[in-house]
Amino acid sequence: MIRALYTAATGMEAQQLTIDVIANNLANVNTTGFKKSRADFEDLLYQMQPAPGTPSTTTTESPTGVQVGLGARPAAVSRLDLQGDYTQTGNPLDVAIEGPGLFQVTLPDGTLAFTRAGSFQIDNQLRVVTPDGYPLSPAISIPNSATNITIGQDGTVSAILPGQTAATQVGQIQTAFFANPAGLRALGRNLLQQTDSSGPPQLGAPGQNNLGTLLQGFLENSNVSVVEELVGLITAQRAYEVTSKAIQTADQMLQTTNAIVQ
Amino acid sequence: MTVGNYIAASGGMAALARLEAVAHNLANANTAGYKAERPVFRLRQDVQPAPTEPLRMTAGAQVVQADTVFDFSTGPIQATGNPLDVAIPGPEFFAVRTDAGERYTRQGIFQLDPEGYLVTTSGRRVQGTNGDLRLPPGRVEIAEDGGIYVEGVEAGRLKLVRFADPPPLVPEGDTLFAPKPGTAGTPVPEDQVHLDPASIEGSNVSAVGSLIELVDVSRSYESYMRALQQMDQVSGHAIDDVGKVE
Repeated sequence: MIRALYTAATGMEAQQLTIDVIANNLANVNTTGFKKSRADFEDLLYQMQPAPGTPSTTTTESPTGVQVGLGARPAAVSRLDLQGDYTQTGNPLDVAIEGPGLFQVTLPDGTLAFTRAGSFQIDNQLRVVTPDGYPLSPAISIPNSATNITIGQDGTVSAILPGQTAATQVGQIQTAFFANPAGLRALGRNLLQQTDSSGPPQLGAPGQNNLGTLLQGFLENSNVSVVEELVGLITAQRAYEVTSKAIQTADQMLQTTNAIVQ
Repeated sequence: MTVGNYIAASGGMAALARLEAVAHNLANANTAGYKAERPVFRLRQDVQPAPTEPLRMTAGAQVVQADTVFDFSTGPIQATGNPLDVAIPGPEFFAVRTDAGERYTRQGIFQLDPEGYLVTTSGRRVQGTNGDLRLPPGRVEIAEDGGIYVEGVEAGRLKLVRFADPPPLVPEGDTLFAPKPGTAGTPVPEDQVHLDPASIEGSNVSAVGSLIELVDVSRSYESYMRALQQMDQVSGHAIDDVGKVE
């Protein structure tokens, strides 16, 4: 069969992956703390017929040799950890991280996950939790009927307890830094998980090296730019279309071949 | 059989080779740093015609693929804002370490591995002026002059390599190129390095050019097949009509 059919198909699959990734980015354009992804591609192995440098006559040699490329393959879908912009919400439990760093939360099975989305709430056990109910790690509880919750740039959480006038420290938010944040595995629900590729987290109070600083009353928006994504969508769609023409041409050529024998 | 059959068939095979190249180019229309390939053909001169015979009547008139050449022109450079993306506006290449030796690429999409090494999308270590680039944790920035800064402190410099024009390079897949045997590039002096930070060089495949080539390939293939059919009919007449015993 014509090799070009399969070569072109790898290209169409590549464009399809690009569109899948863009669709996910666009769907999350309003997701707090969402980081956009991008599909990166590489060319596939080349089949060499005579190798480069093979003598073509006794005095000359084939400078490159005949090489047939076999298409494209996805090399990586990488998350781009660029800063999103901020929305002021005024809610005392909305916290944005400025700079690198991630919040650490405990999943129901006891493992840790990481997130940039700092829209916290208080659950029935008075713990500070994500909208899905996962508590921050180390856990922070806000005492009953405490008022004026303040979260400092360095992660100290203080509140005014009933019957008191001065604020008391009730907890400390820690942030985590990874050597390779792009290597974290996305779990959905705004959560990321540590992998071999991301390396272990370095934990600490915000404000230190690479741990970012906290901003109370703000949320970090998704870093998806709709215009950029739409341009990507058009490019991918057109590339898909033009690659399908190569399949059509291969098909026509096969038809022609079949027609010569009646 | 008629030598013309083989000549027409070789034209058809050449059209197929062109189709394969176009399909590969189009499949890589969105592969950053990809360089378009083009097959080059020649007459099959290894069959020498007898002195009395014109070339077109012999097997030497067949067309065969001689070479694949690569278009090393720079693709469109687009800004991404990602600090680990970097494009080269000039004709140089990034150096990458592989098990088979140093390889070269135009795809400046880098990442950090868990140990802090700067790697390509397929995980191969990018080379700096002093070998592998291992960066301390922190915010990375790549400057126009090839310097890599982590939290504002220089942590290494990207190695760029320049080759003769056209570059004597052979693609190996994964957007890597190997130097041809007996050739080598020269590292670009530090003061001559010029990069486009936070940008990607797109593929240099022209979609319009490829489409036109597809039409041309398809039609020329049809012509070769028609020629083949005609010659077959001639043979058929010769067998059926001329040799008919009344």
